[in-house]
Amino acid sequence: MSGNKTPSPEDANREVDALIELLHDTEERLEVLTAGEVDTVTNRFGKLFVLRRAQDQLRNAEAMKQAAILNALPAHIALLDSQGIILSVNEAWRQFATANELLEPEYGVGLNYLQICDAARGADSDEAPQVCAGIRSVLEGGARSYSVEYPCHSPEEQRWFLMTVTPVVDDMPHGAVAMHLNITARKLSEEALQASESEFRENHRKLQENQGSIKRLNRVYAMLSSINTMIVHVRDREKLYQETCRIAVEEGGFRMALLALVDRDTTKIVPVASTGKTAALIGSIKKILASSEDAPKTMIARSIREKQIILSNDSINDPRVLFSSQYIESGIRSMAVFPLFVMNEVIGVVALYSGDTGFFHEAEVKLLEELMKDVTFALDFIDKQERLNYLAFYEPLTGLANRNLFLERVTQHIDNAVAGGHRMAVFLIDLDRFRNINDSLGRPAGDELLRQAAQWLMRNVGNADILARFDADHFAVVMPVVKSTGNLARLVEKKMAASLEHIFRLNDAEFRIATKVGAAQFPDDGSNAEMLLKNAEAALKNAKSSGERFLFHTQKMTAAVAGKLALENQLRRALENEEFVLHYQPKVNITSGKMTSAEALIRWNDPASGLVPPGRFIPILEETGLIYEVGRWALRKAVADYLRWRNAGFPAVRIAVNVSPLQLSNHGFIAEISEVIKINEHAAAGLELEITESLIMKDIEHNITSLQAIRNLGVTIAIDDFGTGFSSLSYLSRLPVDSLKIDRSFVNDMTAGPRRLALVSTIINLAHSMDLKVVAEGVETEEQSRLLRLLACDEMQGFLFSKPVPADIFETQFLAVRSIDGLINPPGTCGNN
Amino acid sequence: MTRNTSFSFRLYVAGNTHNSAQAIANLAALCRTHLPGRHKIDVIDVFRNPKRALADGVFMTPTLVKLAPLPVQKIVGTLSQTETVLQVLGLEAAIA
Repeated sequence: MSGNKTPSPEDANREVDALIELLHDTEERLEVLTAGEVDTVTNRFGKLFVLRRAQDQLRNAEAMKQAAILNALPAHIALLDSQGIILSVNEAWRQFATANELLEPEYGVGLNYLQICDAARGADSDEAPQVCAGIRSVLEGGARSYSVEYPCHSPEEQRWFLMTVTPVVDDMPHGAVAMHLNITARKLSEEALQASESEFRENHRKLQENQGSIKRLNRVYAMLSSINTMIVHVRDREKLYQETCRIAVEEGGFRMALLALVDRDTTKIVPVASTGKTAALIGSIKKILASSEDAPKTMIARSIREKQIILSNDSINDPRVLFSSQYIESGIRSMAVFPLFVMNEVIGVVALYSGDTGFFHEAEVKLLEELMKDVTFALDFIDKQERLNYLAFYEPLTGLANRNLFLERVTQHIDNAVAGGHRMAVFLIDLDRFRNINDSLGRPAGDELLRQAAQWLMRNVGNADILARFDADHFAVVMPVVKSTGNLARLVEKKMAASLEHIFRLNDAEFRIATKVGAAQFPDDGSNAEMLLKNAEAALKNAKSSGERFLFHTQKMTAAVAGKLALENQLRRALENEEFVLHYQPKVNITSGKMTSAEALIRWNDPASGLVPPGRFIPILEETGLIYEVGRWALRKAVADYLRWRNAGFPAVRIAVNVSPLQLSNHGFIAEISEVIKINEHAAAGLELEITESLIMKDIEHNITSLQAIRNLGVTIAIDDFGTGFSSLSYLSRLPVDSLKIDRSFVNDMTAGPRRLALVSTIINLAHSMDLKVVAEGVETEEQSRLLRLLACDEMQGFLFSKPVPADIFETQFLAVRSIDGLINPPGTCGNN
Repeated sequence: MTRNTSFSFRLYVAGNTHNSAQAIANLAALCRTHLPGRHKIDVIDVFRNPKRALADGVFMTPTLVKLAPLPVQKIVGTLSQTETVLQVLGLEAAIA
């Protein structure tokens, strides 16, 4: 650019381009320099430049605000350009378009609104040309606004809209906003108002035309409506009879109504309900119906006989009406008897008595006939419902619950189990040979067997509510509370054995029926009733295919139950076959190292698997109560061994026998001990009882008395596992015991630190202060032995000295040796007690 | 500067633009945390008051002008670097 020379157009363009480029560069540099943190820049003259990014943001923010407002409006709004092309639409428009399947293209955006109007054809398009003209006038600036109401019915509903078109004022001087508001609700209420007005006028006219007839019919209509409402709710026959009569009088305006049924067995007509302030008349009717001579003459009887409606529109002068004088007294002028049909049989009648002469015209009778049909329908429905209700929950052959009801009950028991934190179980029982019996003796015998089986089950489970019969020969039992697996197994075993012993009589022959059982437990085998039942069914199926008599759903459970049962049987056999043995473990004096006494320990010498550890069978003995017998056996055996050794000239060391909780709480226990020691005068001196601390403390007052009685017999008592229970010192001093055995856990921990050592020291001192002898159990190392000696413990027992050994080994290793020792050592150093 | 010194700010913004809105929020948070009860903020929109910006010598938005205590200081940007802002305002020592 130079001097006065006017620049050529190309030069000017180049200059503008250069300037734009410069500005663009400057702006980019500014963005970079300010790390994008600046929105506007002002030049020295106060001219404000909004950076492009900020400009975009401002535009977007503004547009979003506008859109938000438009989208919140319920009206369908479209923005049109000057040609009528739809530029954008709001959310309500989009929803309307979606509902009316106007999705292409983009809810109508891009289409010409005016052309759509021009093209409109059909029932609702009458207003279209007018609407087009209206929009055009706004677009062309001729009108400030235009509105019109128009119908736009869809196949499903009637709709009306109010359309308002206003010009866009600002940026788009030639565009317009078209807004459509749904005014259907307003239109409908307007029309309804108009309709009801004309209906009212029409009714009024009719009423005036024939007031009397309308009045009668209206009463019947009111009655019909009430009866229909009533039969929807009523579920009980008696109620249906009563209500029918009541409604006839109260709504239908009859003076009296009576409903009578035909007794199927006697064919007598029995009034079952009546209403009306005419007690005397009703009494007379009842009386005449009861008389076998006069009853057939009544209109009611005729109606039943002839299976048709009997009318008498002028009762006073009608010769067929029996005691018309009484009707006159009661204000009755006309009457009708309607038969009630069920399956073409008349099951009863409804008799209606009116105070108006000639009440029963054709229209009334027709309506009343309809009404009677409704009443019989309801009656029939109630009948069926009752039957259905029974069939829905009970199984008709045995009267037991069916599967549905059983499932419902199981669900309830599951809820209880969850609340009570216990387990529950479901059993499915299958009768062996049922199909054989059914096939060979016939279906009646099969049914009889099922009935007898149901009765047997009811007697045995003691409660029909936990029983059910499913298809064919499947019965189900729910056990609401399962205490322990062993318990469960024993119960099932017992019941199955009992069922086999029971004799079923069919066709004069005796049958024994074996059963198969499938079981499922909650929560292990399923969390709901359906699941439990399904799994019990699966277990039963397995039982049948595998020949097992009783299976749980889970293998583990079946194995556990079977294992326990087998073990229990084995233990019974072990007792009979004398497979239990006593092993002896010596207790030695801690300073001299000489044996002072021995503890007898029960072992089971199973011929099949060898020596069984006590932990595996003692709990079962306790659970089954076998512990009484085994405990008694151990006492006798220990005393017998002692006496045998004594008689053989071996030194007499006391033998300690363990007492279980069940034994101690048994009332006969003391008598049992005295009986055992009665066999020999020296027996008592050879017996000691070891009772755990926790057991003694359980019922301390009672036990003090028992222990005292035992001691009086000459038997000594040791507190076993001392330190594991919760002894109160005050009680400890009162306990009639001789020695205290420190639990092996204390001995084991003794070397772990000074605190543990101090604990043992305290126990020993405490025992000594109460004149109790102290025995340390579970001594395994020389270190433990040395420490116990330092703490002045009296005796010890444990692997360091000897493990429990069989009687013969005990005899040769300890008794024989000791007798030699006794000979060698001078008297007084043997440390016997 | 004592703990009771009162701070007076003037923040120049450009309408609802992103950076300006952030600057307003950041300044408010900073004052709430470090100058509770002793600050005054005057927000000026340059779209509405272009002349005041010129009078204060503010050429960009957002710009924070600290009027009191003296000396007057200016910070351009969103004020999101809290530490830098505190340092410039001489507040770092006061809160340390």
